[in-house]
Amino acid sequence: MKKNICLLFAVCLVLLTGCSSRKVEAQTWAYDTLCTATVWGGTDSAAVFTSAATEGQALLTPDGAKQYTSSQDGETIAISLDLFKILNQAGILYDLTAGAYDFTVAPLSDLWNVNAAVAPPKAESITERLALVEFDALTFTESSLTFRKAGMGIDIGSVGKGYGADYTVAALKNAGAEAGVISFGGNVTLFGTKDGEPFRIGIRDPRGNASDYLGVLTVTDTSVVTSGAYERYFEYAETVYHHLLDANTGYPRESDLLSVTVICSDGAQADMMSTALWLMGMEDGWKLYETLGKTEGFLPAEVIFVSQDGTVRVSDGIAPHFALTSDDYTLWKD
Amino acid sequence: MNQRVKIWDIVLIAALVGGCFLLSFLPKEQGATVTVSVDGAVISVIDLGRDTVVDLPDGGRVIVENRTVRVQNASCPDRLCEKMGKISACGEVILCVPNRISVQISGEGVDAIVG
Repeated sequence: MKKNICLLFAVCLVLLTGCSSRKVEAQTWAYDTLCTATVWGGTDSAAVFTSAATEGQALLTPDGAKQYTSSQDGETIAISLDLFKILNQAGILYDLTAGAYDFTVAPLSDLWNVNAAVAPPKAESITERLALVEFDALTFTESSLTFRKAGMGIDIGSVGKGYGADYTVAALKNAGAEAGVISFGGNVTLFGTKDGEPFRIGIRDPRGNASDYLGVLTVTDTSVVTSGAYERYFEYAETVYHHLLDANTGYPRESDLLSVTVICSDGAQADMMSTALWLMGMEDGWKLYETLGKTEGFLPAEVIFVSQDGTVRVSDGIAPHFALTSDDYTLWKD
Repeated sequence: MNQRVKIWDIVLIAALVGGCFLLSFLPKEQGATVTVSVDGAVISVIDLGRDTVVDLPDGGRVIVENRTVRVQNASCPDRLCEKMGKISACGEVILCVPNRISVQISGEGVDAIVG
């Protein structure tokens, strides 16, 4: 009898531990944010992850920084093919948002420096910098990028984290990893399955704490990226100033959206799209989403819009995989 | 000596009962979901805490009510799925083999939070 119980216990232990391959956790800093990975299988997955995070960052700007600013009129720099692809998409988003989304916003975001600022910049300074923000003043080829004026720059803030997470996933897969959850400051890329099941990803509740989520997405082999004004901001004279700037006015953009989540196989596209859609607001943002679905150069994507009034609008393709779990929000009805 | 043991037994039982009573007041972790699949394809993921009805292609219904899940109006000949009654714990599954329908409660908590 005793023997049987021991045997049963042993079988249970094997069942509990034997199925999935070895799990590795790793974390590093890149793109000004904490990057974490949970990876199943692969050789040296933790080391592969940390070096790929830095490597990917160096492919977007010459010195691997968040911004690059030109130092003379007509300066030309060498760029990666990946940045060329990103610039093409950024150009389309610039046109479709009438300039509100601008990849050359660097002089402005640098001036605002929302992460460390305590007060908004002077109006004259903003006007000055606005003259340096114009996507159409860039010319680029597959391998080079030219700035018309000195002081112009590119800002990878709206693309880097999504791109970087994707980049590490490619490296991890090359090293034989079977599955993983990669998060670059809340921009998540997933691959493979956990015990044969897709991953469960919480969509952050913009009105709650960092650990609160309003719904659960059950997905894998995709990137999930959220943009919103609720995390990077400062308050001055009872006004909130956040990091999502309108490149036309030079000030933080007003939006009736709390957050926009984009689900897409391409992390860089998901990242850029979520920013541009948030800037456009609930109604125009949704129209832009539909337009992008028919635009060449953009991969199919799904979206979750969370509006200020607590309405959550989910695109048809992802609705079956999304469960609203918070009572503070309601699903959008036609 | 016998008396002593009895007292400690009572203290132990009281502590256990009290502990359970207190535990029941802890807020329920959010996020447990119900996944409804037909022929292996997910047709719906629902919050376990939200009372809902999901229509199945065979005419049956999945009913989520008071953190329990059950199948009603099943069209299969054996109606085993309906007879399985209510499920409420993570990992529990209702299967309808003839119609290839599965209804599963997935664990609370998430693998990552985006945002």
